[in-house]
Amino acid sequence: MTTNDPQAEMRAQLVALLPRLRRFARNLVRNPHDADDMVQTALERALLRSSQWHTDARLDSWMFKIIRNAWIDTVRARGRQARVFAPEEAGAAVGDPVMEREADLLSVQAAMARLPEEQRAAVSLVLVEGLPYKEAAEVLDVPIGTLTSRLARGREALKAMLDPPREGAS
Amino acid sequence: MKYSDETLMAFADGELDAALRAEIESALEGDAELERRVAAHRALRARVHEAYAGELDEMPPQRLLDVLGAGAVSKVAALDDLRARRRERAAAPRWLALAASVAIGATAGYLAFDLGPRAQVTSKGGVLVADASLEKSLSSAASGEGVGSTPRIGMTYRSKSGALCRSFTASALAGVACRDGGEWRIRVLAQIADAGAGAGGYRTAGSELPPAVRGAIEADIDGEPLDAAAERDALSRVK
Repeated sequence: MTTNDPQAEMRAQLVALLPRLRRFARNLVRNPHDADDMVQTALERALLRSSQWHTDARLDSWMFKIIRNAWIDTVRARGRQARVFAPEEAGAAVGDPVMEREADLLSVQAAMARLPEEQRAAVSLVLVEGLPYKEAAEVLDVPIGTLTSRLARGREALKAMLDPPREGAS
Repeated sequence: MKYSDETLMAFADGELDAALRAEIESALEGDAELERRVAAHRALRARVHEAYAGELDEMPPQRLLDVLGAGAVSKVAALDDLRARRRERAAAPRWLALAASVAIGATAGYLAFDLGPRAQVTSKGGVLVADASLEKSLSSAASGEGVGSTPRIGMTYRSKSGALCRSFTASALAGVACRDGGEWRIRVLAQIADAGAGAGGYRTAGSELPPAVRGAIEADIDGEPLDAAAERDALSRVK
């Protein structure tokens, strides 16, 4: 048992972060297996570069950025066939009447899947993962103004899908 | 529309500077339309967040835990814990406590871990160690017997790193503890699927041990289990 492993604290925190890392990855690529591949790549990279992480920095943001970069690599490697998420499956619930909670939850995910990638990443970081704008902008490597405009457009689109303007009685 | 939608979104997200924030707060007084727009942002935020909350309860696949050196974690224990979590919101899922305790050794001090009154294991500075009763068995009982009825020791072996390790069953738990730093540290811990029926002593790495425990032993054992004489000799040197 290693007790003086310099990476030990980071590994402990990564174990605790795993569910969130997987969740973020799945919001980038819908196929859960591909998402876990991406998380695995990111974990390996993080451990290799553990000296670059400072304990006062947020490990979640740092990891989200590594995942996002792994995702960009994947997209590049696969060329433009990279729309890996399954729109037919994901879109199945769009338009279902929101009658019960189960259906409601499903339709949030389905609506998310229909967002353009950039907006989905912004919404995922801020609304799902709860990152401040500054951190989210840093993860996505964009100015904060770009982040807020993607976020605003993503929210607008989600709202339109989830609460479509009613034309008559529902 | 005095305030843009983006400004109201940032207000709802708590991202505005103090001055603008205070301005909007007072503008909200008696402005039902403004209030409605802010509420819509908050509601959407809460709805999206809630829709993804359930994913945090999922146990990560072993291959990801392996990258972090988090060892074998019993799915049985994890599933039990998920059920319990739905009933009462626990601080951290049990798979996490188990994985972290196995992976991290001394530094996981942030884990609060309470297994209840008949625990047999306890958390000490974030490390899972044997409690007094299990400690006694691990330090003195021969394989195949326990002090009293429980805990029982299954087998004794040397790990690949040279540590003295023993498998045990104790009430509903089975696991492996290794001697390290003057205490018995829990290497792997799993719930026994049928605790009532399976409480007999294990003389070998027997098939009754939960797969997670068996797997951990198989992965870490150096050679064969110690025979009775070698075991006595090793235990006599446990301080």
